[in-house]
Amino acid sequence: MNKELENKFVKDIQKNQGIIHKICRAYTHDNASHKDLFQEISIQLYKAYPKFRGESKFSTWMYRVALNTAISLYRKSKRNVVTSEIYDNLKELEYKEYDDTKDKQLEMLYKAIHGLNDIEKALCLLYLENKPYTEIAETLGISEVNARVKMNRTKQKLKKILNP
Amino acid sequence: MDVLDNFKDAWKHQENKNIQFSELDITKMVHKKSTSIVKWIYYISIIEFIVMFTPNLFTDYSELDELGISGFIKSILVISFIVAMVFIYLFYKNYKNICVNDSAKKLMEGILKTKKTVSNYIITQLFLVAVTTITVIYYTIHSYDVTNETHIASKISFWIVMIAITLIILSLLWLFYQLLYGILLKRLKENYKELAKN
Repeated sequence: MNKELENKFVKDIQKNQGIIHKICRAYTHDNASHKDLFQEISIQLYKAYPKFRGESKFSTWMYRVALNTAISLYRKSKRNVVTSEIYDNLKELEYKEYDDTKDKQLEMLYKAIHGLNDIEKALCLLYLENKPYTEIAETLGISEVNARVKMNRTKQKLKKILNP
Repeated sequence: MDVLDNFKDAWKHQENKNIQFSELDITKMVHKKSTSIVKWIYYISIIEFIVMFTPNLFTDYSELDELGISGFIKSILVISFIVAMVFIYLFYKNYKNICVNDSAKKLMEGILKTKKTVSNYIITQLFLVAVTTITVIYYTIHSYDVTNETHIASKISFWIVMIAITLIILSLLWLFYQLLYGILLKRLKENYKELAKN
């Protein structure tokens, strides 16, 4: 990649890093692996960037590469948090004084997302981004019907985790 | 409105306060080495090639002339060299074909295909090693004096032990690679299954 293109890439990533952070937060459990995954995603984006033709929105393309890295290419070294820990954390949240700030909501949401498998996480993230089912299906390489079925199951699962 | 929709607003306006990277951080990051599964599979396949093939280069086959099978051994060497070249080309092709822009399912298929190529390579190499070993053993036993039975008996038991050791080494090697790839691809296989089922 030439210097000019690299500078443009770095600027684009810096501006849109929120997308990568969301994925890292959903797929990892601590800051160290969050940074590891962020780096691996950046490297994959960097490698794929010269081929990015602007047919889709930059953020859409980023989502695809980042999710692919998280579910296919990244070697998870840290153990998964056991489900009981998630329930304990959620209970703790409920007992604390109810605080309806967005931060608290997000914290709860991420804890629930950690209870999903890799594919369900991807579905959930794309859904939260308001992506249409056609795009969700295309990103994952499944049919639209299948995407809807899986999404419904994921919602049920999340509901159970959030209201045990 | 379902459970996830309640979170959409918070989701949209979230900021990551803990970690924010500067342009310099990102520049440094992208110049570091990737640790992706594909890269590891590619490296391992090249290491396998070196481990399986280099011993041939340092083996002295002149002793086999006495057995009259040097021609056979040479052709086996040529065959395994051609096989290795074909597989190196396939490894490279698979590696290059894996594209992070593909859909998740297609990407996983690509990675699993690469793994399959590596397994086929190992099986082919193990097969060639087994054929060579058995042939050499067979001709060696036959070339000894057949009138001395005890001598033959001790030689046979010696070769039985040799065959057993060869088989144990081959199976350990096979098991080692299966484990290695098993660990590397465990999560990927689970995710692939998850995507494939309805």
